[in-house]
Amino acid sequence: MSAITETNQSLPQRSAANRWFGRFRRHFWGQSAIILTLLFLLALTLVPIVIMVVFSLKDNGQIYGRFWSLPDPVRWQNYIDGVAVMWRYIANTLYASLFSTVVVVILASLSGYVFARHHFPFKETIYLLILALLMIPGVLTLIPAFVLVRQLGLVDTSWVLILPWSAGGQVFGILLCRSFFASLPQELFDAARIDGASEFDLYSRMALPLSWPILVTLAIMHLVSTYNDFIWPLVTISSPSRQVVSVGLTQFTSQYGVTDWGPRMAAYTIATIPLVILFVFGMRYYIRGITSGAVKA
Amino acid sequence: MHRQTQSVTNQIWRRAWLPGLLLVLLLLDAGSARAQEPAWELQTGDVVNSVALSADASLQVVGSRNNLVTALDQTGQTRWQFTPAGTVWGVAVSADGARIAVAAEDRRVYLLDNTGAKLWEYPGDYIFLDVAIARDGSLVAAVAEDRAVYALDGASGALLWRTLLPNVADTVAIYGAQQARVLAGTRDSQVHLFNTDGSELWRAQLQNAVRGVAATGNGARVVAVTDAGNVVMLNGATSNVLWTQSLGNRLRDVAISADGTLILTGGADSTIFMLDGQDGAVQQSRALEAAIEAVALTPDGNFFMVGARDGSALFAGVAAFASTFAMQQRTQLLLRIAIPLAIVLLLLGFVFWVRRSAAGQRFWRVRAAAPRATGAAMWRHRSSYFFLVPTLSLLLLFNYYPAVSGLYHAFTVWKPGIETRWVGLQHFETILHDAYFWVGIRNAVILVIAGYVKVFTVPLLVAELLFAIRNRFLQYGIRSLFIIPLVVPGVVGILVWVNIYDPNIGLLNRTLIALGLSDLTNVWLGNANTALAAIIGIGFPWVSPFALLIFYGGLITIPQELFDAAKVDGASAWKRFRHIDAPLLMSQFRLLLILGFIGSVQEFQSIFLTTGGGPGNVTYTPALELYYQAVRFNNFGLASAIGAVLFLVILGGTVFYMRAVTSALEYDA
Repeated sequence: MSAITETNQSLPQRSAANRWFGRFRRHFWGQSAIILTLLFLLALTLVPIVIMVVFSLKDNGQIYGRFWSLPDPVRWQNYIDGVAVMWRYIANTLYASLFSTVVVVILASLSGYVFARHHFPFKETIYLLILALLMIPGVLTLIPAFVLVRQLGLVDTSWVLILPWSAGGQVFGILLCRSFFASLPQELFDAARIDGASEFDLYSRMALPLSWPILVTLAIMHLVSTYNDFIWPLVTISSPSRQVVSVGLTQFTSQYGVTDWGPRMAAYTIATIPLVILFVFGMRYYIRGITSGAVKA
Repeated sequence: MHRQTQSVTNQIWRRAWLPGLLLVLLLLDAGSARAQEPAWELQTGDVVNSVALSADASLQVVGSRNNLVTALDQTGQTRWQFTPAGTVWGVAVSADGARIAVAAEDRRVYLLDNTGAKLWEYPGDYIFLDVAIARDGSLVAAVAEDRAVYALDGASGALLWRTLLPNVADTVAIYGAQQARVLAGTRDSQVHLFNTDGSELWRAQLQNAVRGVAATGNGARVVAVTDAGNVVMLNGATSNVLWTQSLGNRLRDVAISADGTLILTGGADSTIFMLDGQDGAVQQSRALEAAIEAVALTPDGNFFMVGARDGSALFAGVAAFASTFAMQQRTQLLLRIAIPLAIVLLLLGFVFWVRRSAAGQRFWRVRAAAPRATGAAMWRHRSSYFFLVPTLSLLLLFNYYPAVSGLYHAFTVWKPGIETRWVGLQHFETILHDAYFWVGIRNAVILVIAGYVKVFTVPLLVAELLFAIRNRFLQYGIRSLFIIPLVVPGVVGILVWVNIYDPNIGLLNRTLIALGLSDLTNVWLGNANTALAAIIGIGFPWVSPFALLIFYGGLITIPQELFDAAKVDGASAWKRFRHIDAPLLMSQFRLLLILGFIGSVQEFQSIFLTTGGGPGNVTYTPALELYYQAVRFNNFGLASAIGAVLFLVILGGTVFYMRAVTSALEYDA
């Protein structure tokens, strides 16, 4: 094999395609093994998603009787049933998630900017106190926070989701925004200040427009985490009409009884659609958030 | 500078006067508004066992241990008295006040008219413990020590039916008029509902002996109180439990308004509680002088009566009671604000006073210079603080306060809105001896280890394999495909796996059958031997997109020269991994070690959605126990203690990993 490559290299007029072909042949078996292994693992990983989608188009007879066959006839009625139940859960979740995302983006960027660009007494102390919240686990705060929102009369309203989500999401956001704002050149701000920009202008007209990629990252990560939140809505929301997707799905299960798998799987599939849409647009921002922000934390 | 600060202080001082004055006025106002006394209070001379009211509250009846039934009017004047031959255990009044039923120790049920004259009596063989009468007086129901419910005709006193219960009932109630139905609550924790003809419609099993039952006008809601201090609201149609509120001490009786919005109860701890019928939240509570034996409420929820162990019976309007309570609450709140404010004012006054003397001025100039400079700097940067106000106030309210509150209440019996009692380490002792908690700890250890195996095998392998793909396009494409599971919400992922483990139509069992291995099929989540393993197996082959991205992100930041050097040295793949990849991925390893630890110790969702801790207790986790203690048993103090223990474990683990795992890249990080 190496002899052949040698010959190829000795040829005077060897094209780029030829060179590529040579490398390809040299690594063919190793690369094939790697790719096949990965594809095998990938197939196993995607099995639950395939099950979910296939079952969502079958009725119980097809699931029990012809387990391995594809849906025939395809039962779209499952999706009609699923949407009838799920739309309200999805609307509730999106309302609270988006609301708190807007709050988090505004407040985290503002605070991140202040921590990165301002100098004032006790700055680092306050910052460390905020970072210390990353060390406080949910199990410690769950019950007291529940008692608090009950005393505030927020239980079973959308505020019980919006306010704590807004508060909790800021911590990571401040971390992300501070490190980004700190990396902007100081000259930029000095020039603007000389031109007569106010403190708030520096933030809103300089820092914010420059930082939109990091803010999109923050927004997407916050949306995903609130969409997936389970235990907080489980504890604080009791009316089915105000319930969110993650908890609503489990109630959907009991409502249809144990046996009706088709509509349930359709509901699961419907519940994934908002995240699919989100990731189609924002996957790369999400990945950036995980790889850059999380490691620093 | 000096004059400036002085004028600032003067200004502060002048401004402080106004709120101070307002505060004093408010306090005076709160003090002058006297607590409203009950409309009347009666001393019977012996334990009051039962009280009853007509619908318009014009007739009030008190039954006491000294063989006395006393009827009063709204002003508290005694109208008449009736004396059976034994202790009066129960009294009941029809809605119009025209019929009064009495259950007594002399083994008789009496029916009286509104003048106290006896219409009929029903002689039984056993002591009657409680009695109830239909709104229109057409039906009288009584329970006796022979474990039976008696239904008597209101007009004649004839026995309509008699049904034996599994155990003695201490309490009976009737709702409806023409189609009156009878409720009975027994000592073995059951509530029974009987139709007009005596057939049993349903029975509900509660946790402790039932001491009181009551129903709304249409029977849609049934409320029961127990020896353990629980108020349990049942759906009258299905007998499902709607909510449970734990009030701590033994409860003796309960009453509910006709529309079900207001519940009145009381018991051994001498406190009278008014609860919201919707969710059981305590709206008001007030301590009386003696243990409460009986309560009554008019159907409109406007008037109530309480009978106590010390022989007193009191009657009052609910609104007057509520306003007194609100007054108490307001005074408390005022005090909570007034005391710190007074301290601040005193301090300000002290500073002002000190600065008037020469020595004080010298002190101020010399020794207070540094704090004053800091203060001035803070004032100069007030806009920075101003920008942080929204963030910090949200964090203070929803993050810091609950954390501190949780640590504090771990040492208390915590009944929000009722009491907070310091009990020291009692909860931690309870936890030490709690079998569920220890099973939880064992499972948490298993979950932590299994979580590490899951994260440090397959995702790392996949990341290395991806990294080894030479074609950029293929590398990017396959990586993207591996990230697809991110779009599946966590709950959905777990619920689909519940389906995969389903014994009948689960993919796992079906695959085993298709492979001819039907001996290996199993009820994976329902079998105590496999439940935990099945939960760990969720997500097979465990290519966590998160871990994959972390590893992959770490690998692509390693300088290419290092790999080239390794290649020149002829290092094998394993050696390259050991000496280049692993040391340079150390900060990624540490991150995943810490996050995995935190996640596994708190594991809740995957257990709650699959087995709920069962079968038995084999899949309990500490977080699940915390949730159940709080939500099912209302033990907020104990739940906080579990939270505090887990917090310490997590803190310890994180600090350990921070110290123990150091990165080769640390110096330039």
